Amino acid sequence: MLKKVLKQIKDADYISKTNIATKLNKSVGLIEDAFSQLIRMGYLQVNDNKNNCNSNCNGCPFANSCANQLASKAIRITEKGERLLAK
Amino acid sequence: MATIALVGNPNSGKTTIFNALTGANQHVGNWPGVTVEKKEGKLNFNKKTFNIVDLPGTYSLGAFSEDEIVARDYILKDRPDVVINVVDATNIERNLYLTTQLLEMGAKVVIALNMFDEAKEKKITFDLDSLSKKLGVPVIPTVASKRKGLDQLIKNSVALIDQEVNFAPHLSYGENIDQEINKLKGLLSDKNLDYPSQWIAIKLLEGDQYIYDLVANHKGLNTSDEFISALQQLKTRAKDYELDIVNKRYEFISNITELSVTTPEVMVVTKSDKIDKVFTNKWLGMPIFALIMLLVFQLTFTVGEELLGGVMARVIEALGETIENYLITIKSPAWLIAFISEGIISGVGAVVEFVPLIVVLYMLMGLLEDSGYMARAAYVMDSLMRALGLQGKTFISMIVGFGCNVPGIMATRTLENKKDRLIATLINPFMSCGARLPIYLVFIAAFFPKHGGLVLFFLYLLGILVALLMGKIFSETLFKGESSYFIMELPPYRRPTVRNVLRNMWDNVSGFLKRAGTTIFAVVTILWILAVLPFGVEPYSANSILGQIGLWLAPIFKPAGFDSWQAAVGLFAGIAAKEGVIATLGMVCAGVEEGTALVTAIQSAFTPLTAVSFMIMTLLYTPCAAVIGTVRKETNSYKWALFTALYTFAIGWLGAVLVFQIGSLLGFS
Repeated sequence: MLKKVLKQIKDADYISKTNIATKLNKSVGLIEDAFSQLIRMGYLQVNDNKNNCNSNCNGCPFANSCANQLASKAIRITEKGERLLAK
Repeated sequence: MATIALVGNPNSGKTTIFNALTGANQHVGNWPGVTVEKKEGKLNFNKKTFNIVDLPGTYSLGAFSEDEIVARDYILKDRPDVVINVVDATNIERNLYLTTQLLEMGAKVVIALNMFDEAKEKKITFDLDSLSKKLGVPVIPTVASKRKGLDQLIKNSVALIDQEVNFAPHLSYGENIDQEINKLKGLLSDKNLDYPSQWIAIKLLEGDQYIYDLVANHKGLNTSDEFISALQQLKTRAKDYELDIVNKRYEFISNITELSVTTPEVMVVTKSDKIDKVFTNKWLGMPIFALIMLLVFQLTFTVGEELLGGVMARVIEALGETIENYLITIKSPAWLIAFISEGIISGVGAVVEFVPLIVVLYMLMGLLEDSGYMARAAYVMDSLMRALGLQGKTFISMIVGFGCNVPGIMATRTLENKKDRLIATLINPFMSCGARLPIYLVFIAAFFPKHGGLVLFFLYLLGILVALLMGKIFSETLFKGESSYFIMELPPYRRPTVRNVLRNMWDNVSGFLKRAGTTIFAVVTILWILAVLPFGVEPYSANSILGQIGLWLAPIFKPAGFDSWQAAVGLFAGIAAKEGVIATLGMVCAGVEEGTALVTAIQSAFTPLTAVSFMIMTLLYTPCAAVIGTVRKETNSYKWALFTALYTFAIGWLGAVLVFQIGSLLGFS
């Protein structure tokens, strides 16, 4: 199943977990879990807009407009993921 | 005393069950050596007392977080008599992954199929007998929030305590892996390990580093040549096995749910998907984004200016008069009265006057953000960015830059590729930040009051286009190389909440007001001192220090059509903080004659054409000191900070000159 999810990501213009769940006839929850597994195992790399800022938001004058608050996520298939898809 | 542990995914209702079972009879501490909270309580049932332990919520039992390690160590080492696995009935497929891992551990499991009522509402039905048989464990439906099914849950759990049962699932991982498990089990047997050998074998095949370290340091194992050799061989193959093992777990779950759980036909196309077919369409996406932004700017003027416009101006005027009268009454020195009324009220007041429009603009932007549309906007721009050789995610930092360029530049940290990051940093100052808004608003009020939305839209658009153009130039000259490729995830659309929208608006407006009260106040104070010195000259005149600086700078802007010393000194102040442009103009133009509104003063100092060229200059020229400082910090280079300051000035100047010269040739004035 994980390879199928990876293939769906590869073929998509953008990621919609609902779309993938519908196409694979699985629940969205399971697809979410599959994403976590693929990220954990290094097949996917997530860029969730968290900018790894070391400063404390409470004292930061820019906390209000910080990118950490923007709900946006991007995902990349890693070389390991590409190798799996090529198999 | 027998112990019952509660384990489950986050938000499965585990803690609700724990509270329902233990009531006030509980205490909270920490698990040894970690900061994870440990909750324990007592349950009295059938005249017996049981120790109930609430384990941290987790999706799996690997070794990737403290929560996971705490939960799995407790189950394997402390061996509770029974483990109640709280499963969210509305999301059973995902929750059963944890169940599978619990069964692999050989724990005595009872499943609390929680939120059963919600599942019913969602028309999810369960064949509980089949589910129980397939999993090999009791499955009890519960509604923890209403305390339903809890007696049955405890009754089944207590009944298991003294029973000898084998809960290992009939789960085959495939011939190869099963053989490896058996081989490893043989090597691990009789070694007096903390964990069951079957489970250790699986974890070794999954490449679990924690377990590798454990067995590598075990005295009975690290002396066995056979085991060391097996372990070394395994390390190279484990990564492939891991995927197969996880896949087998999913297969196991699918086989069970296919026969035991019926879910209503999944809506083939959700509402979000339907909307996205239009909003993210290859051809329609971009024009829709442009239209939405145009609508936002138009509404900002319609609501902000026509309904709320003038409110703040009247408040500031009244406040200014009151303060001035009070200062006269208490016989304050003339310089103080001049400083307050002509410096602070005219300068800071000129900035604060535009708060109503900023309120409306950020409220509308908040609506777009909270609805999930902004992620679509970033996606729509993604393809264009890639076509230009830029990383699609750069647009996220650009969107953040609309609020303020400092966090916009900090947001480029999410870009991994150094090339992408540098380009995103260098082009971010072209995104029109909130501090530049009052400048446009004054000039729009003075020259284009009927087309405010349109002018604002084109200014923002111009900022984006210049940023993209410069990005393209940089990617082909200074920073050649491949951009990293990311696919954007689009969150589902959601109804914006009043709370989120208001909070977003307040965050921006309060930040704006805070800056007005601190940075702008400081800038205005310095500029006021420069505007009244040296003693003996007419304050705010060309003879003052500020006037002399302005006169020295003004020729630079002659080709752009605005060569007054006031405009030059305004732009100079804008490098300290962008609001300084309007604060300075407010002080040196409007503040000099009592009752002269800034807008009227601007009308006499500029023409519509020079107003446009001035707005373009302020949009594109050198960012404020805080942004330059951030570029230095983020690039760790004074060179790039200086480059940003200079090249943006050149672009701004060039833009303003082009507009003025071409406009003049075309007969505009």
